[in-house]
Amino acid sequence: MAQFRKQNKTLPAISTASLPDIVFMLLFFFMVTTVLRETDIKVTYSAPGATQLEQIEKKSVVSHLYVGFPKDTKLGKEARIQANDVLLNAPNEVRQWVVNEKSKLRKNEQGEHTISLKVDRDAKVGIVTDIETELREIDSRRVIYNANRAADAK
Amino acid sequence: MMKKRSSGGSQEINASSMADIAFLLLIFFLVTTTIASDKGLTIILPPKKENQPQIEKNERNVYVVLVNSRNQLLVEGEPMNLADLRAGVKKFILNNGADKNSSDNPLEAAVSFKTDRATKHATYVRVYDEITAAYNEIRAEKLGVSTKEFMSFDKEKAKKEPALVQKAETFAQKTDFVGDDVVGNYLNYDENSKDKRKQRMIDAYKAARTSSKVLFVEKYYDVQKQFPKRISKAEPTKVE
Repeated sequence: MAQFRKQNKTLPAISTASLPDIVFMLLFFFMVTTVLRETDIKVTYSAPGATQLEQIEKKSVVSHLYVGFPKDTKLGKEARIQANDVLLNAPNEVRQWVVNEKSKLRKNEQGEHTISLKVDRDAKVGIVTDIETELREIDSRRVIYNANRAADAK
Repeated sequence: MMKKRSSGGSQEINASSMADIAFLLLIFFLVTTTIASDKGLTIILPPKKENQPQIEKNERNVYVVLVNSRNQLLVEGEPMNLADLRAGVKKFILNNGADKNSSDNPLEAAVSFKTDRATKHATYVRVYDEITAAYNEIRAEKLGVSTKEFMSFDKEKAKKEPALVQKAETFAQKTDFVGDDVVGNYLNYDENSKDKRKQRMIDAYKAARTSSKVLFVEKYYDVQKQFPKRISKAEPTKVE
């Protein structure tokens, strides 16, 4: 009996005091990695699939442009362009937006300014071409078509 | 006695709820986190139309890929399945004058890709992807690495890996003896180079990537630019 008691004393319940620390550690990890979405996406976007993907090296020089069908059905069924939080009425508005975005960058980074086109897979090439024509006009020619990794056909 | 009791109660704050609070926050961040998939196909658009010099290009050196509004592929005037496109592009680039109707050499070879305005973006991306894949596979073959290795080439990391830089440099030296028919000639691509031979290559490259009468393409995919870019970034600043 005495022995039994002794054992009980040496093996107390596992201390959970360190549990908050562990959880906090995880919490900080997610807090740091989290990029809170700045914009509310008002258009449908499901990325097309591709295999030859490249990672965007410098995220700070990238501006995102969404192209898709409006989620709000009142806005019609035509594909629209979304820049930041607003839906653009015409592709030529892209020009002003890009100039604005570019001016936010540091001088030495302005040449690297890249437009990431997040185009819905069902959108037509026409609207994308319109955007690209605008981009060419203002000589902002670095473009990335966002895509998901797809299984290689081969 | 009473005093003792109260002091005993405030001796340590019960920390067991701390974990719950932290968990709550953790779950919040877990849910809101979107690990950004910033991956995609890179492309450098051609300059605006007024700035494009008119350059004649031999018809046989242009591989014309057309996609119609029903997402069907027409390659060199013949309907084609998407699955066959990659092999077709590779064969065209590496023709080296063997077939009189195909390209003279990889430097001259250009793929013209044009789609209808009503083509789906997904199709457009897939076709562009296949053309890029053909180039990447050729480049990988020339470099003697697998396509997967070639694609996973990390430019930032590569700067710190002398083995990869070494590989690129020996390849560059090798291609100097092979001649112009190797895509890897662009390995040492450098806009400001004073080397005449390099300058010639750059001129050829510049000529190749601008639109011509024959091309009149909306977009011109000279992925060769991406090859030197990919490797030359890996090289430390070269002393000549």
